[in-house]
Amino acid sequence: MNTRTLLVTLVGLGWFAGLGSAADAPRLPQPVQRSVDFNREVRPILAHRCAECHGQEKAKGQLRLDSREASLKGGRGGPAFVVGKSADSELIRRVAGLVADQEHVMPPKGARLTAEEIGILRAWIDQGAKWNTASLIDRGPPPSVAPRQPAVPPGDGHPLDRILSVYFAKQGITPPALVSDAVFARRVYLDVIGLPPAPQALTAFLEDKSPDKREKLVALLLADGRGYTDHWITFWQDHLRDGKKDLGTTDVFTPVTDWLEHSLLQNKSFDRFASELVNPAENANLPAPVPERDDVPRVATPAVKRITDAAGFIAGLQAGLEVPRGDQAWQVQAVQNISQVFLGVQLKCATCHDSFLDRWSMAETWGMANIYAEKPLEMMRCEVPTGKKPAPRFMFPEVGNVDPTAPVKERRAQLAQLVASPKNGRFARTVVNRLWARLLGRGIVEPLDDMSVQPWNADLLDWLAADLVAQRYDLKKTLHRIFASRAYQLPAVEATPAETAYLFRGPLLRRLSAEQFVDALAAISGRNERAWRENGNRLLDVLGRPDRRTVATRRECQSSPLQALELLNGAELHTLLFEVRSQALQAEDVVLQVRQVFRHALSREPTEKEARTCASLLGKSPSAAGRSDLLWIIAMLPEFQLIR
Amino acid sequence: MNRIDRRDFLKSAALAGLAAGMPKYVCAKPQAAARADQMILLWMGGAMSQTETFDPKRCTPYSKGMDTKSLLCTFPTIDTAVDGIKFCQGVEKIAGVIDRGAVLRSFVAREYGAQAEDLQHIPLQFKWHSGYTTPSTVAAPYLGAVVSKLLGPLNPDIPAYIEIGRSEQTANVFLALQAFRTSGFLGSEYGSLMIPEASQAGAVIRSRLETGRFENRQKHFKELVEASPIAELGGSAQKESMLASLESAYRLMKSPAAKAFDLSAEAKLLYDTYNTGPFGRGCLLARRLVESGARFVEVHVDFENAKGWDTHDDGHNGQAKMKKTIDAPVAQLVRDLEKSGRLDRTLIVLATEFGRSTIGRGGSKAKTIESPKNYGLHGHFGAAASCLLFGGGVKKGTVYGKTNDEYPCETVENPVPIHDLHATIYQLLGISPRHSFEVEKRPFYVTKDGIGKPIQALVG
Repeated sequence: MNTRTLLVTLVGLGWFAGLGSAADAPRLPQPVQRSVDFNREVRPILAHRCAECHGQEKAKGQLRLDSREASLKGGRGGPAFVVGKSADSELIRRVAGLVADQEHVMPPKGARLTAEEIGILRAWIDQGAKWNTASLIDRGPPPSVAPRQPAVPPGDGHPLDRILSVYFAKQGITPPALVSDAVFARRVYLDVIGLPPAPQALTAFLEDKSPDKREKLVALLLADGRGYTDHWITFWQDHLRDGKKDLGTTDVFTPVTDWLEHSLLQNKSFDRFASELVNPAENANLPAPVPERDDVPRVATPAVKRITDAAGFIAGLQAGLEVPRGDQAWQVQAVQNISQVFLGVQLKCATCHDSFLDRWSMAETWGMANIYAEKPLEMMRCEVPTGKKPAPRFMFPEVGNVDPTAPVKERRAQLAQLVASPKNGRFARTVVNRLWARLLGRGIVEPLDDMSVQPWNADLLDWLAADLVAQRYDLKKTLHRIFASRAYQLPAVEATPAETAYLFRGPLLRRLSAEQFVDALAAISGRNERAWRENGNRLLDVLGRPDRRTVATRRECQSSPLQALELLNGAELHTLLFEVRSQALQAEDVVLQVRQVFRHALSREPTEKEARTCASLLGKSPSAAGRSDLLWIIAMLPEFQLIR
Repeated sequence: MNRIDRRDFLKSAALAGLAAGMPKYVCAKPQAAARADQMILLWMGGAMSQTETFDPKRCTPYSKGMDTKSLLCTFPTIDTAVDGIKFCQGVEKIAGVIDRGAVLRSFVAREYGAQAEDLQHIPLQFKWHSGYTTPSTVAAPYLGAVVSKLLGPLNPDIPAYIEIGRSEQTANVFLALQAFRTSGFLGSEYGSLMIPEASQAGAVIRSRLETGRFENRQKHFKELVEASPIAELGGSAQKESMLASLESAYRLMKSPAAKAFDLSAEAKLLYDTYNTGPFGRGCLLARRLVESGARFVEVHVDFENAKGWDTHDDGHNGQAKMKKTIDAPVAQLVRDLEKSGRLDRTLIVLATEFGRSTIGRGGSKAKTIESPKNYGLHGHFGAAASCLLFGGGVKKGTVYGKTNDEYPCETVENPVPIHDLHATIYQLLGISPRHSFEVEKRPFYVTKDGIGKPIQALVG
């Protein structure tokens, strides 16, 4: 058993690790040695692990833990805690398992609190149990989403860098020198068109002596509509949970691919882009019909209709709905997806009950859903009908509201307008944050789908958002702003452990996306193929292409043996590398071949030692197999798979 | 330390502390430790008829014009190794090993009522495997992926979760969505190694490259890594983790464990016993993989509309044919694992998405049966299905649950919803049914909302 397995096994077995003998009786974890922040550290524990049973809805044991006052008043077991004395607090005893009756150990559902979490609660109680909101979840009015135009510090430079220079000074960070031209070129090519620069283009750029050549390159790349679309379409397909469907068996999942490709090629303004998704064209096919039956071969099914409008996004996923469930009606899915993607709010919690995590209530979610409903939907509380049918209502009344008496058609148009309104600063902030995260590895706000969290630099976020609006919602302009900034051109840094507070020092080291990896290899071997056109396959899957059942706003790609097995011996990669048509690799001179592959794949020359290794693999008269193996050994280099 | 990536390292750092004698409070409630370390799921995709297999009812021979509702079963009842447990003709060999296992007759995919006959295969196969209905707000992982995530590989050289016999084709139409993944939100690293056809399993592990070339390529790759300027990406945890996992995959392909994938190493006589078709060969491969330390293996009777177990016409002959494909290999699998001493720590579960009746969806609409083609259990039925459990902590020779002896033979005693069946499986594997993952800051329980209760009567 290797280290990893042992540890994974420990994780797996962790939940019952406490059973052992009586000698292993639980002990009280120590309070953490720092000043604890209620909002950031304590509130999530109480909201997530306690409030479901000890809150507004239920008060088991007559205890509520959703305000300081209620906690001090306590329930049948007495006050929840004694301010300043965590060791004597009932809450701590129960979560630490220091009670005689195992039935009293809290929380009864799910994993127990970790030592760290208990340590946080102890420190918080010892430090006076400061509670800076009236209740655990402040269900006051929604947070303000008004746009804000921050003042940019004086100076010449790029506005983003002027904002960040204040930040760096405050944090005591001296930013290092910008990356070299070659590293910049590889990075920006991959970020705009999803491919590394071809050797000739790279050489031309390196030899260019003009001082503004980086900005010129950015402009040149962004002007390549086809390349831009072929790269950014995967980003949007993830967000719109879109995939090409050529199966022709059911109509349960309606792709928006054609519409999306067209919109990106046109560089459709982002307000229009969102409006068309929220309020698709008249001929929209809503809702997607639930399949009649699946027990007879569907030979007579007509070919899939080519739907060129955006209706598939709000139509949601009707696949496999065994009995249509009220809380997953297409209208509910539509507003969950719209709020997540465009407004940075997760309404999934607040669909089945008032959220335990944030201020959103069921009535607000269903009020949004009912904007789309011909007949108002009845709220379902955890699958049980409530008898209540909230009137159509927009979630941020500050921006405006829909007319609840207007016909659905008009309400939809009103919703589209409210979502993409310049008065709705949340809309612009959400998308610029997503772009920043895609390019620099981490959002200005994290998580990306909870825009109520404090950004690490509000001026940076608000400036980008205001700029997007000023630029008429042209996303390419925002991309240009970011690429041209010194911030983007700093050397890549390793991700810091999640436990430590985030400091911006430069872009995070990113791994090529599944599509970038596959497309780059195709390009190096001389083929112009783009993986997004594929229906997904094992290779793309193991490299992190999300399952498009749900909206995915961020990709995860962890190295794993299964992934490595696919890289080492999978059919897709084998086929991909099988045929190498590249001119470069047909060259007479073996050393020249190696140099060309290095330039294309890594944007650099091989060292002498590297060239020797590669030449030895190729042999004196390289065969097709030799060339395919050369490409493989280079493709497997972390240097190839990472964006420095 | 360079074997694990940074994220794992950080997660496990806390656990290392735990192992080193820090206080232990991760326990939810006292719970029996694992009774099984490994699991084989034998998936009867397409809805195996319960009253034609493991829950016999009054058998009525065919006669033209017979009352549709009077038809409960088309096979005579047979004895089993356990007094008082009867099966239907056609599963004699499994009947001979049921003293090593238990039969559950009251799996309820959907409670008896208006919609108990109106079920579709794919959503309920999804529900059986994940415990959740679709669409759900998060992509729910399958049982195998949860086990893979929580228990990890048993033998580090063998992937934790292996699926045999689910064709890539089916994988694609599954839920009518492309690239459907059984690992859900857990991520593809916890997904299955797919072996569409057991007899071709060697190819998954055997290099596609000719002898010598594969090793030569690897040798040059290592040299190139060594030759790369350290300054380029020195000391990156990501880099280390990428190299380490590539190394471990190479090790797997070269390891003695890789031989487990090769059915040709099996003795002819035994091979022939298993070789009833793709499913039978899948059982043989599952046995070999489990013996080599696979954690979770699922063998599919692959679902295809109106084929296999999905008998919408000619049900009598269709079910007879299917029983022939499962009877010998399932029984042999139990016997072989018993012989090698692994059965006690290996849980085998044979299950299906729902049961069948004469009338439900796709069944007869006529009041009488007028042709031999209509003789059989042709409809879908949610209110009862049978399931077998062997080995790994299962109480031997047990029957659990009871169905009506008259039409429509719905569950009348001890109904078992999927979350309770999953809870039982999880308990035997040493996983709390209330174990939760955090997704989008919300808890996601391995049994729906953490409500699954293990069926103690099935635990020995």
